[in-house]
Amino acid sequence: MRDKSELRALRETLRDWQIPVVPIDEDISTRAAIYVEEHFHASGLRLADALIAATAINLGLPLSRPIPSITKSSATCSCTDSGRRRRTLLPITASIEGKSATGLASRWISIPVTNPNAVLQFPNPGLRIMLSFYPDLDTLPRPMQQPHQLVGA
Amino acid sequence: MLVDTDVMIWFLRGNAKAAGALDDLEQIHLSVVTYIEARPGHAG
Repeated sequence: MRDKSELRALRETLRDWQIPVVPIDEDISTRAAIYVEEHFHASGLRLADALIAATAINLGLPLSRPIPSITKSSATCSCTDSGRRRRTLLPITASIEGKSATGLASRWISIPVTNPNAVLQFPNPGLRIMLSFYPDLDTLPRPMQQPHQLVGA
Repeated sequence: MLVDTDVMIWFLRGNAKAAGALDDLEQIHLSVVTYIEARPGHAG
């Protein structure tokens, strides 16, 4: 794309085909950040590809071309103390399907899982935990499990 | 279907395979990231 005629062609295509342009929101940017954290070192996942993949997941839409580096499913949780961010970050541990991970409150913990309905074990009392399941892009489309809230035992 | 940047650029450059693939779709969405990347002058 090097000249004005190409820009005009892009705009006319969007208008004629009534193609909505989806903006980046908080959920998309959060998912993209997780994808980059998980895949950048192993496969050099580009930020732009992570944002596009996160947009597809967020909308529940198939992607025209799978992004190969995002191939595994993972459960990702964000923890807060009584709904408020802690200034002093508290170490927490979560486990699912026998696999565990430790992180800090208010940070993301990611645990690869194979079963989106697996039960998250979370021993820290008094903390709220948000769990999101991110499906494998290669298998899209399929129903997107809504993020749900679990309470520590 | 969310159309990724490569497919969109192939289509805009007249690639028949990309055009055929998009023609078959009922509803197409585009990420703003793809819109930016497909614009002339984008360096990425």
